[in-house]
Amino acid sequence: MSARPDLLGSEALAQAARGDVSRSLWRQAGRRFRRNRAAMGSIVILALIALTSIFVPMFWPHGIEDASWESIMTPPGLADWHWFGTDANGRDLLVRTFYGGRISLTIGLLTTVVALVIGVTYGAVAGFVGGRTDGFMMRFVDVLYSLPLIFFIIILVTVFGRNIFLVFVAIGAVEWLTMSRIVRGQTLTVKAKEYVESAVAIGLSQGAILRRYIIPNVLGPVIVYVTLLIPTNIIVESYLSFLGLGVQEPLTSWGLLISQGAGQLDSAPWLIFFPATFLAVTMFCFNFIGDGLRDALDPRDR
Amino acid sequence: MTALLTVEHLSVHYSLPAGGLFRRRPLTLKAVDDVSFELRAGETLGVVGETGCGKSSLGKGVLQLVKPAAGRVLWEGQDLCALPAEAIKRCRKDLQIIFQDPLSSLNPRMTIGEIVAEPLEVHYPALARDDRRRRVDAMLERVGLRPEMRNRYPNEFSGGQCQRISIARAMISEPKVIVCDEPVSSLDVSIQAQICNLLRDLQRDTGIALLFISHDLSIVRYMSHRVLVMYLGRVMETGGREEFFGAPRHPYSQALISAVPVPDPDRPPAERSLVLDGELPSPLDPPSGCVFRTRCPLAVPVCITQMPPLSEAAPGHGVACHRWQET
Ligand code: SF4
Repeated sequence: MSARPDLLGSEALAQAARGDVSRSLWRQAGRRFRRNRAAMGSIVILALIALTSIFVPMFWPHGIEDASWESIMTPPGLADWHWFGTDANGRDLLVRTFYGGRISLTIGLLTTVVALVIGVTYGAVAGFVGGRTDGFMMRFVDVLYSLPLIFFIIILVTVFGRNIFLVFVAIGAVEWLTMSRIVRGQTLTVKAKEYVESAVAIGLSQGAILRRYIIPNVLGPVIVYVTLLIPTNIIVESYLSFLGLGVQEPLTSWGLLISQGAGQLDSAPWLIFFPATFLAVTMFCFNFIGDGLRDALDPRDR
Repeated sequence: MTALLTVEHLSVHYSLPAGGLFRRRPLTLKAVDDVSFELRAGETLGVVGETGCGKSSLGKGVLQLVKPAAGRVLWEGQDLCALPAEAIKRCRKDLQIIFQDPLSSLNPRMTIGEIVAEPLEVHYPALARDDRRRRVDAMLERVGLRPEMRNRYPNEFSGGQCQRISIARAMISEPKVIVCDEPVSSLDVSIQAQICNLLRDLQRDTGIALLFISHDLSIVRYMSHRVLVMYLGRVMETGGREEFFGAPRHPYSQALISAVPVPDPDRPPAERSLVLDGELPSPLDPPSGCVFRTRCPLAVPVCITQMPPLSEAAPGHGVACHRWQET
């Protein structure tokens, strides 16, 4: 053994010895994220919205389709459990808002998962394989990009009829394009790093390089994009519903509630106020979380 | 001693595809052009040259990290350039590399233990977990790191420590050859010496052969048994350390050596101090004949028309210059 005295290294050695938990990049990012008040607050609020959306409709005295002639257009108030008021059919707005929250959040999450799975796989393969394959795959994305979303959805709706499942497919099928571009660009950057060459140099297989080297290093920006994609997709669903192409009665979503409320803005402003507030708060929360994650994962401000 | 690794007429080309307004035809960059050498067990061959002379491409071409355009790399009776990818992977157990930038050559998402253990996983998949762990610990200790550090991540280490980790990763599969691609040039001077000594100790203990690539002549002098000088992808001079540093024959080597500051102020400076003037020509459009002629103080007309062969000035001492007898 001839471990030479490590003159300049020894300080770092001692430093490393003092902290006993290992500090991976993920852990460091986690710590920075937890220090971000806006992002942590947003998580709490989002959790509340999600939980109430799931559980309140189960216990609320009114169901979402319970029309009642006695209480048409009741303004918000404590009377008879119509806290958010009722609509033109006497249906309770509170339960409908939370029910709409279920649908909106579900659509936001599921479409993002669809976009994530397709986009990451497609982008990582294109970036990693490179060359002609990459060129061909990305030209295909460019072509799809040039199709307007609304046009695409109108085609789907006319061919398959209106169906909530179709909304998932349509949004997911469009949003994965951006995801695949991000992942491809990121993959190209990571692929040029020396550590990937060092993986080739020890004889690691292509699959293992993709799994251990490329994907973990590409994940940071993808996570940030995901948190920003969820609210985007909720909004897309809202305007589809607003245009009458999305969710249909008796199901409802925030977008549909807002579009119905917009027609009665003068006589019953609460019909648009509550769903719009929930939608806006959700948007803000996701955006704060996205910003927080970006700051936490960005190594530059370390 | 017989050669462990023989490189014959190796060329590494990068092609820049045609396209755009300014490039009608595809261009070929000859990063390495017709380079031959031998590497013997237990020795260090230092490869020197200015930035962009193709010395890194040479190292990567030898290891097939870039596919050579021509030539052969003979390793254990096989030509690596002609082997299929799977067979090359098996050879990588014995042929390793250490990169220049210590931090960026380590995967930031893997722990030190995982990084060092990875070559064992690839080449000895049957090795038991405990056994692998023991070897990783021993290796870490051997390069001067504490085994308890195995669960830490590269970003917690200094440049010198990262280079020790890279050395551990390169050494753990017990290779016979390591290409050191400027392994110390991004480190502080005081750390450079530590890493150089570590490499020398490891070489003494294991008999490993090093292809030591560097632009720093004094480090090459300290590390190498033999030296190979490159300029614009071609070999200018090659020889044993003592002959080379004592009596360089090629005008380029003479200029390089005379540019190194003399550590001893009492010693007179080299009698003929040559200074390199002029720019390094573009490797895309190297000069005809001798590639060094645009900066050579001894250039004569024949240098423009004819490429000088590598003449044997003495046994084991080659010089690529038309006028080597006069230098
Ligand atoms: S061949 Fe001519 S130009 Fe080249 S180094 Fe010798 S003298 Fe100089």
